[in-house]
Amino acid sequence: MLNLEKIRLMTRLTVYEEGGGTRDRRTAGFFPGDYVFAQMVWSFVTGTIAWGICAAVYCGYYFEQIFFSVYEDAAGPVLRFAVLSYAAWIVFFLLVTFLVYRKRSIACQRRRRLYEQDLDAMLAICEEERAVPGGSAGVPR
Amino acid sequence: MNNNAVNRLRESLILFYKKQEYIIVPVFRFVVTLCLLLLLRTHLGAYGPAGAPLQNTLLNVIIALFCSMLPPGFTAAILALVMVWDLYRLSLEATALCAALILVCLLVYYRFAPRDSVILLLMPIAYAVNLHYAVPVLAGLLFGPGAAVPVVFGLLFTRYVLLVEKLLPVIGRDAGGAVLTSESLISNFRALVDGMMNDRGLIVLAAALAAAAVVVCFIRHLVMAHAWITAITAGCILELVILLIGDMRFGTQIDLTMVLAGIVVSFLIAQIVRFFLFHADYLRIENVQFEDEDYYYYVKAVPKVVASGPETEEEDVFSP
Repeated sequence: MLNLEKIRLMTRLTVYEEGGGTRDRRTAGFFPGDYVFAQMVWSFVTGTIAWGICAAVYCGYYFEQIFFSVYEDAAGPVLRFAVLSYAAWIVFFLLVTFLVYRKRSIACQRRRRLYEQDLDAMLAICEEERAVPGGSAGVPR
Repeated sequence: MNNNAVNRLRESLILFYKKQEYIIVPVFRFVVTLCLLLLLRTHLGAYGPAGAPLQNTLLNVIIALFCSMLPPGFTAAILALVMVWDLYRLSLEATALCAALILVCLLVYYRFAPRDSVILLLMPIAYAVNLHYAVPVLAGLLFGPGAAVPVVFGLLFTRYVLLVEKLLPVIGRDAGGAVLTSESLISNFRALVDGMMNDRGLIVLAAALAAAAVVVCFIRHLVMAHAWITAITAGCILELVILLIGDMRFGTQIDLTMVLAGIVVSFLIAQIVRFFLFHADYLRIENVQFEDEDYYYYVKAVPKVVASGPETEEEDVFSP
C-alpha cells in the first residue's frame, strides 16, 4: 500500500533539492556573517566599477570644465565632489547589500531547517518500514 | 457562459499549460526575442549599413531560436550585445552611453536579482503596443518590490533606442561628412545625455511605473480580502495620477486618450493574470480559531474557486 505521507515528504524534498536547494547549499556553506561579508566585499567591487562608469559619463559630459579646472590647478571642488559622491554611493550600496543578503541568509537558514526536519521525518518513516517484517523501505536519494 | 463554465475553462487552460509547458515556454521565449530584435531593426536597422546583423532576417530568427533555449538572463545579455554591436556601426557615442547603461544595470541591480530579466525583456515590447502600464502592475504582483528597478531600466533602454533613432541624422557616423573630431564626439555625447536627462516625460513615466510596482507589491502582501484586485486597481490609479500630476507640474504633454486606453487595457490584462494565478472566493471565507500548548491560532481560510463536478448539459426531454 502506498504511504501517502512518505510520498508527500519525498515530493517536498525533491522540489526543494531541484529548486532553490542547490543555491541554499552554497549559501549554507558559509557562516551567515561570512556570507553577508563576502557579498558586501563583492558589492564594494561592483559598486566601485558602477560609480566609475557613471563618473566617466559625467567627465565626458563636463569634459571642458573639468579639463580647465585641472589645467588651472583648481581641481579641489571637483575632487571633493567625486570623493563625497563615491562615499555616499558606496555607503548606500553596502547598506542595501547588507539588508538584502542578511534577509536572504535568514530565509535560507529557515528553508534548510524545514528541509532537515522533512529529511528526519522521512528517515523515521524508512526506519519504521524496515522494522516491519517484510516491509521494504525505499531509501530516498 | 456561467461562472462554472469560466472556471472549467480556466482549469483546462492551466492543465493544458502544465502539460505543454516544455513547448509553450520556449515558444514564448522565441516570440519575445524575435519581437525585440524586430523592434530594434525597426528603430535602428534602417540607418545601419548593408549587412548589419539586424537587417539579416535569417540571423534574427537564428538568434531568437538560440535564445528560446536559454534562461531570460542570457537572452537579455545576448540582446544587449546585439544592440551594442548595431549601435557601434551607427554611432560611437551612442554605443558608449548604451554600454555604460547596460554595465550599470548589470553591476548594480542584476547582482541582486538576476531572475527578473524577463521584466526587462517585456518592457520594450509592451511599450511598443502602449501596454507598458501593465508591466509594473504584473511585476508588483509576481515579483518583489525590487522589480521596480528592471521596470525603470527597461523603460530607459526603450526610450534610449528611440532617442538614438531621433538623433541619428545628427550623431550618426555618416552625419557631418563622416569626420569624427573630438568636438563632435563630445557634443554628440552631450546631445545624448541631454536627451535622456532633460526628458521630463521619461522621468515622470519612470517615477509612475516604479511607484506602481512598489505599491502593487505592498498591497498584494497585505492580509486583507481582495488584496490582488485592490493592488491592481491602486497601481493603475497611481500611474494615472502621477502622470497627470507630472503633466500639470512639468508640462510633459501626455496624450491622455492613449494613456487612459493603455491603463484600461493594462488593468484588464492584470485582471486576466489574477484570474489565472489567484482566483479566490471571498464570499466563502472561513474563520477558524484553535489553540495548542503555546499559542492561540486565528486562521482565515479563503477557498479557491474551482469548477464544481463534471458539466451536465440540460437535455430536453420530450414525452411521447
